[in-house]
Amino acid sequence: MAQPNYFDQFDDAPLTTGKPTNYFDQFDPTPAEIAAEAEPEPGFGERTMDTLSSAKTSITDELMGSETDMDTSNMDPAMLEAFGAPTTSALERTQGSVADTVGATANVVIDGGLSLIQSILPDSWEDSVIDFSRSAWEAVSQSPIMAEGIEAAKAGMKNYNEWAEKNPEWAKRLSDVVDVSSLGRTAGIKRAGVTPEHIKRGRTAGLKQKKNIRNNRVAQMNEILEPPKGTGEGKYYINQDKWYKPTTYDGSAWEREVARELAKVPDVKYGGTYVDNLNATRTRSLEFRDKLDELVASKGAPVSKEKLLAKLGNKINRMDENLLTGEAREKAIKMYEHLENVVLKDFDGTASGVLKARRELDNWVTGQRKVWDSNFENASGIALGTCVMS
Amino acid sequence: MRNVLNETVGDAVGTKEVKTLLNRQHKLLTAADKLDAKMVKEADTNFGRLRQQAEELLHTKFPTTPLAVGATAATAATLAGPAGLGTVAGLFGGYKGAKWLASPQGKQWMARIVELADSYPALQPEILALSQISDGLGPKESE
Repeated sequence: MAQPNYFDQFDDAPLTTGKPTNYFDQFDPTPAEIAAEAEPEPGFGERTMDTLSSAKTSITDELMGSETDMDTSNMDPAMLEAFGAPTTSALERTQGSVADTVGATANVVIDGGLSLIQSILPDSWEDSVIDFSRSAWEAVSQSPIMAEGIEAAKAGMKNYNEWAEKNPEWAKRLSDVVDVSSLGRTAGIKRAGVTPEHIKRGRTAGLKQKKNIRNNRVAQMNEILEPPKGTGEGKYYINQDKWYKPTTYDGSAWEREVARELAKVPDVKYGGTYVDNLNATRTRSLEFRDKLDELVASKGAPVSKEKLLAKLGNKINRMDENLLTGEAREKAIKMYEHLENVVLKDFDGTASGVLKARRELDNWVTGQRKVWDSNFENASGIALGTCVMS
Repeated sequence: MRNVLNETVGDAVGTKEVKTLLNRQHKLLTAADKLDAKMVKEADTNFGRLRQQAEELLHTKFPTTPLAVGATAATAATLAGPAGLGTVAGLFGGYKGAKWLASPQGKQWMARIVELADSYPALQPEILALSQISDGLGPKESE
């Protein structure tokens, strides 16, 4: 028989008595407390985020319906207030201070584009607009074929499809700026209980998803094009929740425009190699070259070599006024000399000749790049015109 | 400079379409310039890693000046065989940058480096990465 020990005295004790069986049990929460914890009161942070979220909705609704091309989550609070949004708290300001330049640019572009869009499209189409930039809609407004396409879409999807079949290239361009297909889909819905508000919400959700995908792609392109540390024109901000990526680069307005253009090239892949992405970019650029050659050869007016050189000289002189250009002016002068003495030596005085000269200049500059040198890249980039300051 | 030339073309032709195309192409060329610079850097980094790994593998330091490369190759190649120290040192000393990989000499050099992967399997990942860059490089057309 086993010897009795100290723990035997607890063998017959009930396992659950409803009363504290040891010292720490007294601190256990009661069932009522557990239930109360299940749905806690929103904390300060959550309440603040709710406020910010509602502010975003109200601003976008007020400006251009419930869907815009503008990402207000990164917009400067001062800009939000300028739009008539509720005043934000200190925490909201911290959350919104990520990209003050984003807000400023988005404002100018959207404001300019919106008034133009309103003059071209019926109000009911506003939710189907994909691209709010002024430049995109200027291209639409100045093309009679595009005007035909818009009129066809107003008359119904059947008419639009007929137009699109005849003008596939123009239809593709139109679909880049307005989601024509969403107009056709929603127009046919006549199910019981479905109100115009339901249709609008569904369309908005679909567009929002599409825009999110596009914005993500632009962000990916920004990352691909991120310049070496300390050489870009944009700003860095700290990622508090991403230990594996401590900073994110927020490019300048021009760099974001470049990223947006790159996002339109489907063969440029986020996870792809630089060389593959470079080839995809060049392929698209060559497509543009062929179109340009065709257009310029058929429509070009005479160009004066003297006036062209004077214009270039003025541009170089103005670089003196900008302290940020560094060695760029010296590079620009070398480019000017090369243009004058080599590229434009046998200039034929046509627009095609200027286009040819630009290509030769591009090739000449690229040919100078034997090794990676950030100083060379920056200076020649500014001189050649890859930055807004030139 | 590119902007001025593009503007001149746009003004001469006088259509919005040409200006828009030139503007879009200008953005693509800017992106291509940036990608090109990154590709060059990536290739050089790859080559640097490959060289370092090869040095560690062979317990040696490869010469970097052309004269030293020649001397090493001449004295050691015959002693160590086709994938020996001298050949490897000569190969690594012959790299002339990412853009050079697109030239016939560069392609030839890359083919010899790929052969090296058979003798030194540990170098295969870096060699594969470098050869992917080399394969993607083609003759550049005027855009």
